[in-house]
Amino acid sequence: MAYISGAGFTRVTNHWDLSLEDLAVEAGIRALEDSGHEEIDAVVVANSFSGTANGQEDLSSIIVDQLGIRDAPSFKVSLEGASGAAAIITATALVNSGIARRVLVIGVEKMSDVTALEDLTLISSTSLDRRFEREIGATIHSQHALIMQTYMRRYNIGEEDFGHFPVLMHENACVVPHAQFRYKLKLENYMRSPYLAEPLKLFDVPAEGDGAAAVVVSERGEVKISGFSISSGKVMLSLREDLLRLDVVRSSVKRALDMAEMDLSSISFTKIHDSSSVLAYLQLESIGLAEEGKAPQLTAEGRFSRDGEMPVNPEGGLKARGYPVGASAVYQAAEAYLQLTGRVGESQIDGAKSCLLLSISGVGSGATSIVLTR
Amino acid sequence: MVLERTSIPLYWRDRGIKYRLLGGECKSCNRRFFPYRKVCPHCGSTDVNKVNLPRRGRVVSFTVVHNAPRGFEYYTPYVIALIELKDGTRLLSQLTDVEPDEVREGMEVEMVIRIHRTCGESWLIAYGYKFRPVLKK
Ligand SMILES: [Zn+2]
Repeated sequence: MAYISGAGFTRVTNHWDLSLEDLAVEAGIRALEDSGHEEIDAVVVANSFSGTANGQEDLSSIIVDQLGIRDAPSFKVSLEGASGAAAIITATALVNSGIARRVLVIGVEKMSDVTALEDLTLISSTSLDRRFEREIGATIHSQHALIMQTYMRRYNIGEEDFGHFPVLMHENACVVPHAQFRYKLKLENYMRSPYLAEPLKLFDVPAEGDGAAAVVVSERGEVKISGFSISSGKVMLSLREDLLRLDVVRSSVKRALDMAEMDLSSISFTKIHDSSSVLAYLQLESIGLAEEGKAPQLTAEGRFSRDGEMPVNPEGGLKARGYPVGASAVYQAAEAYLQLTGRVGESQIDGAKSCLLLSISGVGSGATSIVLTR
Repeated sequence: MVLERTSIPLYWRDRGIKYRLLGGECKSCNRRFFPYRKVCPHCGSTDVNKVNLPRRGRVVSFTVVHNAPRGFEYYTPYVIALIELKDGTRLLSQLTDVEPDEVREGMEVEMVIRIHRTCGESWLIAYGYKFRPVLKK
Protein backbone atom coordinates (compact mmCIF):
# COMPACT_ATOMS: atom_id res chain seq x y z
CA MET A 1 0.00 0.00 0.00
CA ALA A 2 1.20 3.54 -0.81
CA TYR A 3 0.95 6.68 1.30
CA ILE A 4 1.75 10.36 1.05
CA SER A 5 4.46 11.22 3.56
CA GLY A 6 5.30 14.81 2.66
CA ALA A 7 4.21 17.72 0.50
CA GLY A 8 5.41 21.13 -0.61
CA PHE A 9 4.58 23.77 -3.18
CA THR A 10 5.21 27.30 -4.36
CA ARG A 11 2.60 30.00 -4.66
CA VAL A 12 0.83 30.00 -8.03
CA THR A 13 1.55 33.27 -9.81
CA ASN A 14 3.75 34.75 -12.53
CA HIS A 15 7.15 33.86 -11.09
CA TRP A 16 9.15 36.30 -13.21
CA ASP A 17 12.34 35.57 -11.27
CA LEU A 18 12.11 31.75 -11.30
CA SER A 19 12.70 29.33 -14.18
CA LEU A 20 10.86 26.08 -14.88
CA GLU A 21 13.54 24.06 -13.10
CA ASP A 22 13.89 26.62 -10.24
CA LEU A 23 10.21 26.10 -9.46
CA ALA A 24 10.50 22.31 -9.58
CA VAL A 25 13.58 22.30 -7.34
CA GLU A 26 11.86 24.62 -4.84
CA ALA A 27 8.80 22.38 -4.52
CA GLY A 28 10.93 19.23 -4.44
CA ILE A 29 13.08 20.52 -1.57
CA ARG A 30 10.01 21.58 0.41
CA ALA A 31 8.36 18.17 0.02
CA LEU A 32 11.57 16.34 0.99
CA GLU A 33 11.91 18.56 4.08
CA ASP A 34 8.28 17.94 4.97
CA SER A 35 8.76 14.18 4.73
CA GLY A 36 11.80 14.31 7.03
CA HIS A 37 14.41 13.95 4.30
CA GLU A 38 13.52 10.46 3.27
CA GLU A 39 15.83 8.76 0.84
CA ILE A 40 14.34 8.80 -2.64
CA ASP A 41 14.35 5.79 -5.02
CA ALA A 42 12.72 7.43 -8.04
CA VAL A 43 11.49 10.79 -9.31
CA VAL A 44 8.38 11.21 -11.45
CA VAL A 45 7.89 14.64 -13.02
CA ALA A 46 4.44 15.82 -14.10
CA ASN A 47 4.30 18.51 -16.76
CA SER A 48 2.32 19.31 -19.86
CA PHE A 49 3.98 22.07 -21.88
CA SER A 50 7.75 22.06 -21.25
CA GLY A 51 8.41 21.20 -24.91
CA THR A 52 6.12 23.83 -26.41
CA ALA A 53 6.24 26.65 -23.82
CA ASN A 54 9.81 26.27 -22.56
CA GLY A 55 11.63 24.39 -25.34
CA GLN A 56 12.88 21.91 -22.75
CA GLU A 57 12.48 18.18 -23.14
CA ASP A 58 14.07 15.41 -21.05
CA LEU A 59 12.72 17.50 -18.20
CA SER A 60 13.07 14.95 -15.41
CA SER A 61 16.83 14.64 -16.02
CA ILE A 62 17.22 18.42 -15.79
CA ILE A 63 15.28 18.56 -12.52
CA VAL A 64 16.92 15.54 -10.87
CA ASP A 65 20.34 16.89 -11.78
CA GLN A 66 19.57 20.28 -10.22
CA LEU A 67 18.01 18.69 -7.14
CA GLY A 68 21.29 16.84 -6.59
CA ILE A 69 19.63 13.43 -6.44
CA ARG A 70 22.11 10.88 -7.82
CA ASP A 71 21.46 7.53 -9.37
CA ALA A 72 17.66 7.55 -9.08
CA PRO A 73 15.51 6.65 -12.06
CA SER A 74 13.37 9.50 -13.33
CA PHE A 75 10.93 10.22 -16.11
CA LYS A 76 8.18 12.64 -17.08
CA VAL A 77 4.50 11.72 -17.15
CA SER A 78 2.21 13.83 -19.28
CA LEU A 79 -1.59 13.91 -19.47
CA GLU A 80 -2.23 17.65 -19.99
CA GLY A 81 -4.30 18.97 -17.08
CA ALA A 82 -4.27 15.55 -15.40
CA SER A 83 -0.49 15.03 -15.70
CA GLY A 84 -0.02 15.37 -11.94
CA ALA A 85 -2.54 12.66 -11.15
CA ALA A 86 -1.05 10.33 -13.76
CA ALA A 87 2.36 10.90 -12.13
CA ILE A 88 1.04 10.17 -8.63
CA ILE A 89 -0.72 7.06 -9.89
CA THR A 90 2.51 5.93 -11.58
CA ALA A 91 4.44 6.52 -8.35
CA THR A 92 1.77 4.59 -6.42
CA ALA A 93 2.12 1.68 -8.81
CA LEU A 94 5.93 1.73 -8.33
CA VAL A 95 5.50 1.58 -4.54
CA ASN A 96 2.64 -0.93 -4.56
CA SER A 97 4.62 -3.27 -6.79
CA GLY A 98 7.73 -3.04 -4.62
CA ILE A 99 9.87 -1.54 -7.38
CA ALA A 100 10.43 1.59 -5.27
CA ARG A 101 9.93 2.40 -1.61
CA ARG A 102 9.83 6.20 -1.82
CA VAL A 103 9.05 8.21 -4.93
CA LEU A 104 9.26 11.99 -5.25
CA VAL A 105 6.52 13.33 -7.54
CA ILE A 106 7.08 16.88 -8.78
CA GLY A 107 4.51 18.70 -10.87
CA VAL A 108 5.68 21.87 -12.58
CA GLU A 109 4.42 24.31 -15.21
CA LYS A 110 5.90 27.59 -16.36
CA MET A 111 3.80 29.47 -18.92
CA SER A 112 4.65 33.09 -18.14
CA ASP A 113 7.72 33.10 -20.40
CA VAL A 114 5.20 32.94 -23.27
CA THR A 115 4.25 36.60 -23.27
CA ALA A 116 2.02 36.92 -26.35
CA LEU A 117 -1.64 36.04 -25.81
CA GLU A 118 -1.92 34.41 -29.26
CA ASP A 119 0.93 32.03 -28.43
CA LEU A 120 -0.53 31.22 -25.03
CA THR A 121 -3.89 30.41 -26.63
CA LEU A 122 -2.14 28.20 -29.17
CA ILE A 123 -0.15 26.27 -26.56
CA SER A 124 -3.22 25.90 -24.32
CA SER A 125 -5.07 24.46 -27.30
CA THR A 126 -2.57 21.71 -28.09
CA SER A 127 -4.75 19.11 -26.35
CA LEU A 128 -7.25 19.48 -29.19
CA ASP A 129 -7.02 17.24 -32.25
CA ARG A 130 -4.34 19.09 -34.19
CA ARG A 131 -5.45 18.22 -37.72
CA PHE A 132 -9.22 18.56 -37.51
CA GLU A 133 -9.86 20.87 -34.57
CA ARG A 134 -6.87 23.17 -34.13
CA GLU A 135 -6.06 23.56 -37.84
CA ILE A 136 -9.55 24.90 -38.50
CA GLY A 137 -9.18 27.55 -35.79
CA ALA A 138 -10.79 25.81 -32.83
CA THR A 139 -9.27 26.70 -29.45
CA ILE A 140 -9.51 25.33 -25.96
CA HIS A 141 -11.98 28.18 -25.35
CA SER A 142 -14.15 27.43 -28.38
CA GLN A 143 -14.56 23.86 -27.12
CA HIS A 144 -15.60 24.95 -23.63
CA ALA A 145 -17.94 27.49 -25.26
CA LEU A 146 -19.69 24.88 -27.42
CA ILE A 147 -20.28 22.74 -24.34
CA MET A 148 -21.51 25.78 -22.39
CA GLN A 149 -23.89 26.71 -25.21
CA THR A 150 -25.29 23.17 -25.19
CA TYR A 151 -25.72 23.28 -21.40
CA MET A 152 -27.58 26.61 -21.58
CA ARG A 153 -29.96 25.32 -24.24
CA ARG A 154 -30.73 21.99 -22.60
CA TYR A 155 -31.38 23.31 -19.11
CA ASN A 156 -32.67 26.71 -20.18
CA ILE A 157 -30.33 28.75 -18.01
CA GLY A 158 -28.56 32.07 -18.55
CA GLU A 159 -24.94 33.16 -18.58
CA GLU A 160 -25.08 34.49 -15.02
CA ASP A 161 -25.67 30.96 -13.70
CA PHE A 162 -22.12 30.08 -14.73
CA GLY A 163 -20.79 32.83 -12.47
CA HIS A 164 -21.69 31.02 -9.24
CA PHE A 165 -18.75 28.65 -9.53
CA PRO A 166 -15.96 31.22 -10.08
CA VAL A 167 -17.52 33.38 -7.33
CA LEU A 168 -17.26 30.42 -4.92
CA MET A 169 -13.67 29.67 -5.97
CA HIS A 170 -12.57 33.26 -5.37
CA GLU A 171 -14.36 33.26 -2.01
CA ASN A 172 -12.46 30.11 -0.96
CA ALA A 173 -9.07 31.37 -2.15
CA CYS A 174 -9.20 34.58 -0.08
CA VAL A 175 -7.67 32.84 2.96
CA VAL A 176 -5.23 30.60 1.06
CA PRO A 177 -1.64 31.93 1.18
CA HIS A 178 -0.42 30.13 -1.96
CA ALA A 179 -3.45 31.07 -4.11
CA GLN A 180 -3.00 33.16 -7.24
CA PHE A 181 -6.13 35.32 -6.84
CA ARG A 182 -6.92 36.16 -3.22
CA TYR A 183 -9.83 38.51 -3.79
CA LYS A 184 -13.59 38.18 -3.94
CA LEU A 185 -15.32 38.13 -7.29
CA LYS A 186 -18.76 39.69 -7.60
CA LEU A 187 -21.33 38.21 -9.96
CA GLU A 188 -21.69 41.57 -11.73
CA ASN A 189 -17.94 41.65 -12.41
CA TYR A 190 -18.14 38.11 -13.76
CA MET A 191 -20.92 39.26 -16.11
CA ARG A 192 -18.86 42.24 -17.26
CA SER A 193 -15.79 40.18 -18.17
CA PRO A 194 -15.10 39.96 -21.93
CA TYR A 195 -15.91 36.99 -24.13
CA LEU A 196 -13.10 34.64 -25.07
CA ALA A 197 -15.44 32.58 -27.24
CA GLU A 198 -19.14 33.38 -26.79
CA PRO A 199 -20.71 32.61 -24.33
CA LEU A 200 -17.48 31.69 -22.50
CA LYS A 201 -16.09 34.65 -20.57
CA LEU A 202 -12.67 35.53 -19.21
CA PHE A 203 -13.86 34.76 -15.66
CA ASP A 204 -15.13 31.31 -16.66
CA VAL A 205 -11.60 30.02 -17.08
CA PRO A 206 -8.46 30.05 -14.96
CA ALA A 207 -5.32 31.93 -15.92
CA GLU A 208 -2.29 29.76 -16.57
CA GLY A 209 -0.12 30.54 -13.54
CA ASP A 210 3.40 29.31 -12.89
CA GLY A 211 3.84 26.86 -10.07
CA ALA A 212 5.30 23.64 -8.79
CA ALA A 213 4.01 21.17 -6.21
CA ALA A 214 5.56 17.96 -4.92
CA VAL A 215 4.54 14.99 -2.81
CA VAL A 216 6.50 12.03 -1.51
CA VAL A 217 4.73 8.72 -2.21
CA SER A 218 6.02 6.15 0.28
CA GLU A 219 5.41 2.70 1.68
CA ARG A 220 4.63 4.45 4.99
CA GLY A 221 2.90 7.75 5.76
CA GLU A 222 -0.05 9.51 7.31
CA VAL A 223 -2.37 9.64 4.31
CA LYS A 224 -3.23 6.52 2.35
CA ILE A 225 -3.68 6.44 -1.44
CA SER A 226 -6.70 4.17 -1.19
CA GLY A 227 -8.03 4.25 -4.74
CA PHE A 228 -7.06 5.54 -8.14
CA SER A 229 -8.03 5.28 -11.77
CA ILE A 230 -7.41 6.81 -15.20
CA SER A 231 -10.03 6.81 -17.98
CA SER A 232 -9.42 7.82 -21.58
CA GLY A 233 -12.26 8.73 -23.93
CA LYS A 234 -13.10 10.69 -27.06
CA VAL A 235 -11.03 13.75 -27.89
CA MET A 236 -12.97 15.35 -30.77
CA LEU A 237 -16.18 17.06 -29.69
CA SER A 238 -17.90 16.17 -32.96
CA LEU A 239 -17.49 12.45 -32.24
CA ARG A 240 -19.01 12.55 -28.76
CA GLU A 241 -22.53 11.18 -28.39
CA ASP A 242 -23.50 13.94 -26.00
CA LEU A 243 -21.40 17.01 -25.16
CA LEU A 244 -22.84 17.04 -21.64
CA ARG A 245 -21.85 13.48 -20.73
CA LEU A 246 -18.42 13.05 -19.21
CA ASP A 247 -18.25 9.26 -19.28
CA VAL A 248 -14.54 9.35 -18.42
CA VAL A 249 -15.41 11.06 -15.14
CA ARG A 250 -18.12 8.56 -14.27
CA SER A 251 -15.93 5.54 -14.93
CA SER A 252 -12.76 6.81 -13.26
CA VAL A 253 -14.59 7.97 -10.13
CA LYS A 254 -16.45 4.67 -9.84
CA ARG A 255 -13.30 2.59 -10.24
CA ALA A 256 -11.33 4.67 -7.72
CA LEU A 257 -14.12 4.52 -5.13
CA ASP A 258 -14.55 0.78 -5.70
CA MET A 259 -10.83 0.22 -5.20
CA ALA A 260 -11.00 2.19 -1.94
CA GLU A 261 -14.16 0.24 -0.98
CA MET A 262 -15.92 3.53 -0.32
CA ASP A 263 -18.87 5.48 -1.63
CA LEU A 264 -19.49 9.20 -2.04
CA SER A 265 -21.27 9.49 1.31
CA SER A 266 -18.01 8.71 3.13
CA ILE A 267 -16.00 11.40 1.30
CA SER A 268 -15.26 14.52 3.39
CA PHE A 269 -14.42 16.87 0.52
CA THR A 270 -13.88 16.80 -3.25
CA LYS A 271 -11.52 18.52 -5.62
CA ILE A 272 -12.50 18.94 -9.23
CA HIS A 273 -10.82 20.30 -12.34
CA ASP A 274 -12.59 23.61 -12.95
CA SER A 275 -10.90 24.43 -16.25
CA SER A 276 -14.17 26.26 -17.01
CA SER A 277 -17.40 26.90 -15.13
CA VAL A 278 -19.38 24.54 -17.33
CA LEU A 279 -16.80 21.75 -17.03
CA ALA A 280 -16.97 22.19 -13.25
CA TYR A 281 -20.76 21.77 -13.32
CA LEU A 282 -20.53 18.72 -15.59
CA GLN A 283 -18.02 17.12 -13.23
CA LEU A 284 -20.21 17.71 -10.18
CA GLU A 285 -23.09 16.10 -12.07
CA SER A 286 -21.03 13.21 -13.45
CA ILE A 287 -19.57 12.39 -10.03
CA GLY A 288 -23.11 12.28 -8.67
CA LEU A 289 -22.88 15.34 -6.40
CA ALA A 290 -25.65 17.10 -8.34
CA GLU A 291 -28.51 16.02 -10.56
CA GLU A 292 -28.16 16.85 -14.25
CA GLY A 293 -28.74 20.56 -14.81
CA LYS A 294 -28.83 21.30 -11.08
CA ALA A 295 -25.16 22.07 -10.34
CA PRO A 296 -25.48 25.86 -10.88
CA GLN A 297 -28.39 26.15 -8.45
CA LEU A 298 -26.76 23.91 -5.83
CA THR A 299 -23.54 25.92 -6.10
CA ALA A 300 -25.46 29.17 -5.54
CA GLU A 301 -27.26 27.61 -2.56
CA GLY A 302 -23.97 26.76 -0.87
CA ARG A 303 -23.90 22.98 -1.09
CA PHE A 304 -20.27 23.02 -2.29
CA SER A 305 -19.02 25.81 -0.02
CA ARG A 306 -16.33 25.06 2.53
CA ASP A 307 -18.98 24.78 5.27
CA GLY A 308 -21.53 23.12 2.97
CA GLU A 309 -22.73 19.55 2.63
CA MET A 310 -19.87 18.62 0.28
CA PRO A 311 -16.99 21.11 0.21
CA VAL A 312 -15.51 21.40 -3.29
CA ASN A 313 -12.08 22.93 -3.96
CA PRO A 314 -11.61 24.43 -0.48
CA GLU A 315 -8.41 26.17 -1.68
CA GLY A 316 -10.13 27.89 -4.62
CA GLY A 317 -9.62 25.39 -7.43
CA LEU A 318 -7.95 26.10 -10.73
CA LYS A 319 -9.90 29.34 -11.05
CA ALA A 320 -8.58 31.12 -7.97
CA ARG A 321 -5.81 29.03 -6.41
CA GLY A 322 -4.40 28.92 -9.93
CA TYR A 323 -3.84 26.59 -12.85
CA PRO A 324 -0.27 25.46 -13.45
CA VAL A 325 -1.58 22.91 -15.91
CA GLY A 326 0.65 19.83 -15.55
CA ALA A 327 1.25 20.55 -11.85
CA SER A 328 -2.35 21.23 -10.87
CA ALA A 329 -3.23 17.67 -9.81
CA VAL A 330 -0.10 17.53 -7.62
CA TYR A 331 -1.36 20.73 -5.97
CA GLN A 332 -4.66 18.93 -5.36
CA ALA A 333 -2.88 16.03 -3.65
CA ALA A 334 -0.47 18.22 -1.67
CA GLU A 335 -3.31 20.45 -0.41
CA ALA A 336 -5.45 17.41 0.39
CA TYR A 337 -2.56 15.86 2.34
CA LEU A 338 -2.33 19.02 4.44
CA GLN A 339 -6.13 19.10 4.89
CA LEU A 340 -6.23 15.48 6.03
CA THR A 341 -3.40 16.06 8.50
CA GLY A 342 -5.04 19.25 9.83
CA ARG A 343 -2.33 21.68 8.74
CA VAL A 344 -3.91 24.25 6.44
CA GLY A 345 -5.02 27.02 8.80
CA GLU A 346 -8.03 29.11 7.84
CA SER A 347 -9.21 26.93 4.95
CA GLN A 348 -9.19 23.79 7.15
CA ILE A 349 -12.21 21.49 6.90
CA ASP A 350 -12.69 20.22 10.44
CA GLY A 351 -12.58 16.48 10.85
CA ALA A 352 -11.77 15.74 7.19
CA LYS A 353 -10.93 12.05 6.90
CA SER A 354 -11.08 11.33 3.17
CA CYS A 355 -11.27 13.06 -0.18
CA LEU A 356 -11.83 12.48 -3.88
CA LEU A 357 -9.48 14.22 -6.32
CA LEU A 358 -10.63 14.54 -9.92
CA SER A 359 -8.64 15.90 -12.83
CA ILE A 360 -9.32 16.20 -16.55
CA SER A 361 -7.20 16.19 -19.65
CA GLY A 362 -8.24 18.32 -22.59
CA VAL A 363 -11.93 19.19 -22.56
CA GLY A 364 -12.84 15.83 -21.05
CA SER A 365 -10.69 13.58 -23.26
CA GLY A 366 -9.51 11.82 -20.13
CA ALA A 367 -10.12 11.82 -16.40
CA THR A 368 -8.17 10.74 -13.33
CA SER A 369 -9.51 9.98 -9.87
CA ILE A 370 -7.60 9.53 -6.63
CA VAL A 371 -9.11 8.70 -3.23
CA LEU A 372 -7.06 9.70 -0.18
CA THR A 373 -7.87 8.60 3.37
CA ARG A 374 -6.33 9.42 6.73
CA MET B 1 7.12 30.11 -32.85
CA VAL B 2 7.61 26.60 -34.22
CA LEU B 3 4.18 25.42 -33.14
CA GLU B 4 2.21 27.70 -35.46
CA ARG B 5 3.97 26.39 -38.56
CA THR B 6 2.38 23.78 -40.67
CA SER B 7 3.94 21.87 -43.53
CA ILE B 8 3.13 20.80 -47.06
CA PRO B 9 3.21 17.06 -46.33
CA LEU B 10 1.01 17.55 -43.28
CA TYR B 11 -1.69 19.23 -45.38
CA TRP B 12 -1.20 17.08 -48.49
CA ARG B 13 -1.65 13.88 -46.49
CA ASP B 14 -5.15 14.93 -45.46
CA ARG B 15 -6.26 16.19 -48.88
CA GLY B 16 -9.14 13.72 -49.17
CA ILE B 17 -10.51 14.73 -45.82
CA LYS B 18 -9.92 18.46 -46.19
CA TYR B 19 -11.19 18.80 -49.80
CA ARG B 20 -13.75 15.99 -50.17
CA LEU B 21 -14.98 15.44 -46.60
CA LEU B 22 -13.69 11.89 -46.61
CA GLY B 23 -15.32 10.02 -43.75
CA GLY B 24 -15.77 6.47 -42.64
CA GLU B 25 -18.75 4.13 -42.88
CA CYS B 26 -18.70 1.27 -40.41
CA LYS B 27 -19.98 -2.03 -41.77
CA SER B 28 -20.33 -3.40 -38.28
CA CYS B 29 -22.57 -0.73 -36.66
CA ASN B 30 -23.71 1.00 -39.88
CA ARG B 31 -22.75 4.41 -38.57
CA ARG B 32 -20.71 7.08 -40.29
CA PHE B 33 -18.08 9.39 -38.89
CA PHE B 34 -15.72 12.22 -39.82
CA PRO B 35 -12.81 12.29 -40.46
CA TYR B 36 -11.93 8.90 -41.92
CA ARG B 37 -9.90 6.67 -39.64
CA LYS B 38 -9.10 2.97 -39.54
CA VAL B 39 -11.09 2.13 -36.42
CA CYS B 40 -14.77 3.05 -35.99
CA PRO B 41 -15.02 5.59 -33.12
CA HIS B 42 -18.52 4.36 -32.29
CA CYS B 43 -17.99 0.60 -31.94
CA GLY B 44 -14.27 -0.12 -32.38
CA SER B 45 -14.65 -2.22 -35.53
CA THR B 46 -11.93 -2.11 -38.20
CA ASP B 47 -14.46 -3.02 -40.90
CA VAL B 48 -14.63 0.55 -42.18
CA ASN B 49 -15.16 1.85 -45.74
CA LYS B 50 -14.15 5.26 -47.04
CA VAL B 51 -17.04 7.51 -48.03
CA ASN B 52 -17.35 11.09 -49.30
CA LEU B 53 -19.82 12.73 -46.95
CA PRO B 54 -22.65 15.06 -48.04
CA ARG B 55 -21.63 18.71 -48.32
CA ARG B 56 -24.79 20.12 -46.84
CA GLY B 57 -25.98 20.24 -43.27
CA ARG B 58 -27.14 22.50 -40.48
CA VAL B 59 -25.57 24.35 -37.56
CA VAL B 60 -26.16 22.46 -34.30
CA SER B 61 -24.28 24.83 -32.04
CA PHE B 62 -21.70 27.60 -32.52
CA THR B 63 -19.35 30.00 -30.81
CA VAL B 64 -17.70 33.26 -31.84
CA VAL B 65 -13.95 33.14 -31.16
CA HIS B 66 -12.54 36.45 -29.92
CA ASN B 67 -9.03 35.45 -28.85
CA ALA B 68 -7.54 33.58 -31.76
CA PRO B 69 -4.44 31.43 -31.51
CA ARG B 70 -1.28 32.46 -33.39
CA GLY B 71 -1.95 31.92 -37.09
CA PHE B 72 -5.65 32.85 -36.98
CA GLU B 73 -5.52 36.47 -35.76
CA TYR B 74 -6.47 37.73 -39.21
CA TYR B 75 -9.92 36.11 -39.10
CA THR B 76 -10.94 37.31 -35.62
CA PRO B 77 -13.76 37.29 -34.65
CA TYR B 78 -14.73 34.07 -36.40
CA VAL B 79 -17.36 31.40 -35.93
CA ILE B 80 -16.60 27.79 -35.00
CA ALA B 81 -19.68 25.64 -35.51
CA LEU B 82 -20.66 22.08 -34.74
CA ILE B 83 -22.38 20.98 -37.95
CA GLU B 84 -24.62 18.01 -38.60
CA LEU B 85 -24.46 16.89 -42.23
CA LYS B 86 -27.51 15.61 -44.12
CA ASP B 87 -26.64 12.00 -43.22
CA GLY B 88 -26.30 12.80 -39.50
CA THR B 89 -22.48 12.86 -39.40
CA ARG B 90 -21.08 15.66 -37.26
CA LEU B 91 -18.01 17.80 -37.74
CA LEU B 92 -16.48 21.03 -36.52
CA SER B 93 -15.83 23.82 -39.01
CA GLN B 94 -15.35 27.53 -39.39
CA LEU B 95 -18.25 29.37 -41.01
CA THR B 96 -17.52 31.81 -43.83
CA ASP B 97 -19.38 34.39 -45.92
CA VAL B 98 -21.49 35.30 -42.91
CA GLU B 99 -21.24 37.83 -40.08
CA PRO B 100 -21.04 36.26 -36.60
CA ASP B 101 -24.26 37.98 -35.50
CA GLU B 102 -26.18 36.50 -38.46
CA VAL B 103 -25.48 32.90 -37.49
CA ARG B 104 -28.37 30.91 -36.01
CA GLU B 105 -28.72 27.40 -34.68
CA GLY B 106 -30.44 25.28 -37.30
CA MET B 107 -29.07 27.41 -40.15
CA GLU B 108 -28.60 25.45 -43.42
CA VAL B 109 -24.96 25.43 -44.51
CA GLU B 110 -22.87 24.00 -47.34
CA MET B 111 -19.21 23.14 -47.70
CA VAL B 112 -16.82 25.32 -49.69
CA ILE B 113 -13.04 25.26 -50.11
CA ARG B 114 -11.36 28.28 -48.53
CA ILE B 115 -8.01 29.38 -47.18
CA HIS B 116 -7.65 28.05 -43.65
CA ARG B 117 -4.61 30.21 -43.02
CA THR B 118 -1.30 31.40 -44.37
CA CYS B 119 1.53 30.03 -42.32
CA GLY B 120 4.39 32.06 -40.94
CA GLU B 121 7.47 33.08 -42.90
CA SER B 122 7.01 30.45 -45.61
CA TRP B 123 3.65 31.95 -46.61
CA LEU B 124 2.41 28.45 -47.21
CA ILE B 125 -1.30 28.77 -47.94
CA ALA B 126 -3.34 26.01 -46.34
CA TYR B 127 -6.72 25.32 -47.94
CA GLY B 128 -9.55 23.23 -46.57
CA TYR B 129 -13.26 23.07 -45.91
CA LYS B 130 -15.35 25.82 -44.42
CA PHE B 131 -19.13 26.07 -44.42
CA ARG B 132 -21.29 28.97 -45.59
CA PRO B 133 -25.02 29.61 -45.44
CA VAL B 134 -26.84 27.88 -48.35
CA LEU B 135 -27.39 30.48 -51.06
CA LYS B 136 -31.04 31.26 -51.74
CA LYS B 137 -31.95 30.82 -55.43
ZN1 LIG C 1 -18.89 0.95 -35.88
